[in-house]
Amino acid sequence: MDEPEIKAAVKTYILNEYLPGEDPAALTDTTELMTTGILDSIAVLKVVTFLESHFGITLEPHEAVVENLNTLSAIARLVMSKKA
Amino acid sequence: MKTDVLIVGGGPGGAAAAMFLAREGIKPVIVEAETFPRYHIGESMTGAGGKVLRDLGLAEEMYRRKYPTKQGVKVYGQSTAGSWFVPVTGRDENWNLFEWDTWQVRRSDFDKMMLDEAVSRGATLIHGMAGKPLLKSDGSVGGAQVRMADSDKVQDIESEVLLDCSGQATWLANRGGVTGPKYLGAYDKQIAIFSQVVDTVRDNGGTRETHKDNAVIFYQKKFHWGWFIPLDEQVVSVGIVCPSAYFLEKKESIRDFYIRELRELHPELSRRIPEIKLVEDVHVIPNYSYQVNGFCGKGFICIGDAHRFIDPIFSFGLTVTMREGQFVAPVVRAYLEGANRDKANPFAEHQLFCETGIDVLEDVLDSFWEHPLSFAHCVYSRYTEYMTDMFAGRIYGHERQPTPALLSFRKLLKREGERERSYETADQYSIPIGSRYHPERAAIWEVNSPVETTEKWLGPR
Ligand SMILES: Cc1cc2nc3c(=O)[nH]c(=O)nc-3n(C[C@H](O)[C@H](O)[C@H](O)COP(=O)(O)OP(=O)(O)OC[C@H]3O[C@@H](n4cnc5c(N)ncnc54)[C@H](O)[C@@H]3O)c2cc1C
Repeated sequence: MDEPEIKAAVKTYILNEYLPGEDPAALTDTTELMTTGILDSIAVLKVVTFLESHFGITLEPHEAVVENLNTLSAIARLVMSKKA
Repeated sequence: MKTDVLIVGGGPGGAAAAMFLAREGIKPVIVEAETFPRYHIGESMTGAGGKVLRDLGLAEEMYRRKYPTKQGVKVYGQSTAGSWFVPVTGRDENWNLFEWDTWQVRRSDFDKMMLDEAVSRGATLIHGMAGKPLLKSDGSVGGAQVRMADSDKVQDIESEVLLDCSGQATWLANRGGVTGPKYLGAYDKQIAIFSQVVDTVRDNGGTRETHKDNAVIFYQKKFHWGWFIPLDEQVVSVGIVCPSAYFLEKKESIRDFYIRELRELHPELSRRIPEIKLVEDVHVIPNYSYQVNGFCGKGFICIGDAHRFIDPIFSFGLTVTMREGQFVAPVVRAYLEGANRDKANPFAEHQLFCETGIDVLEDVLDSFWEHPLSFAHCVYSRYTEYMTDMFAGRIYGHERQPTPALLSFRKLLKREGERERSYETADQYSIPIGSRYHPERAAIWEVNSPVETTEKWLGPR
């Protein structure tokens, strides 16, 4: 799975779970999810659980930080590095 | 007067130490300045704290006194949905987790029970105030001068080992030059304001998580939080902790500040206190966070708050002081039997063991505030078991610390390696990690600093 595919999968998940009815174009690769409050901390933890089960990875606590989870791009980079 | 072991301070640390010493066949003298019962803060225990009482054979008495049985701690963060629960657990001999309960206590009552029990098991209680330590020609501590409460006369009490269990008074550390310097802790800029309330709304949902006696913690902003700790069927201890700067900026009386905070701090807190009815004075403790370097040496060992206190948020105070009282007993016995007599610090190993354990707590507390997301990730999913260990106060080397969860926190806090190195030489031993948050204070942590104590460095306050 490459970066665009990862982004697409995470985007679909977030749109369905947290932004139902939202125009998909409004959620870009660089939209800030956490620092703008689109996702609260509980939601982010659910995203983490999704990443772990969907991509078969396990995040260490020091990886579950804002910098790694704030945008679709950052999330995709994180998943790629874990799969590498 | 002469004794093998002199204990300064008859709080839970001193009383626990006395009872464990009695088990080793040693009958200590305890000097306590106050007349018990007396008010004291620090009411909620962890699983490991409760275990000390069980080890002392006091469980039945704890239940008989109907101290609330805490099943766990519930934490409410920024969003009400964002709450989490950590149950109280124990570990069996195969290190399997099991569900447990522990207690919350009204300290006036609990401390008296502990001290009375220590006396009935063989300790001698002296009502008086320790003044100057008695120093031998080689610089070792050989007892204390005590001002007796009844006669107001000063009496020398000589000892082979002195245990400083004086709590935040940090008696020995304040006597200049016996211990290493006393430093500010990382939470030194905090202030705690607390009282007791009645007619509260308690949980009662029939599960461990909704048990009526659980401790509840609330926070909204960083370093700004409150506790709700049931003390009996009616009375609940409620406290607010925040940066001192925030308190000062409000320009309110302590009482007005407290009452407003009960209303405003968190919706889950105000919901539990529909009408504010206080049954205790409003108390204040500022700057409660500190650390004493070199807290063990020839003829002395400091225990619990007498050498270090970080922050009360996860109720580790009683656990640490009573556990240190337990650990110290065989160490003292070996020393009395001749072990390590010629060493510069006969209790160096004990000191390192205790310090490393409390470091675990400091890392946990710092991660909670500095990296809330990873902390929650650990609690919820990644390392739930290890997190219950830390919340239960299983923080020492023989309790499988450091756990992978803790190592991960250290990575986040950028504390890898550094601490290990700091243990190697005497001078660098236990650099207060508060210095990392207050680099402007670094001068007082330098080896040859002209400033010996934080008090001096701060000047008159
Ligand atoms: C705001 C706040 C909230 C807290 N909440 C909790 C909590 O929920 N749970 C928890 O476990 N801990 C809590 N703590 C910590 C807890 O209060 C302490 O860790 C605990 O009381 C330490 O016990 P100790 O026996 O070491 O000292 P203490 O209980 O302080 O006992 C020391 C005794 O020594 C005596 N003494 C002092 N100097 C002398 C002298 N020179 N001569 C003779 N006697 C002397 C004193 O009179 C006192 O009785 C809290 C602390 C604070 C500041």
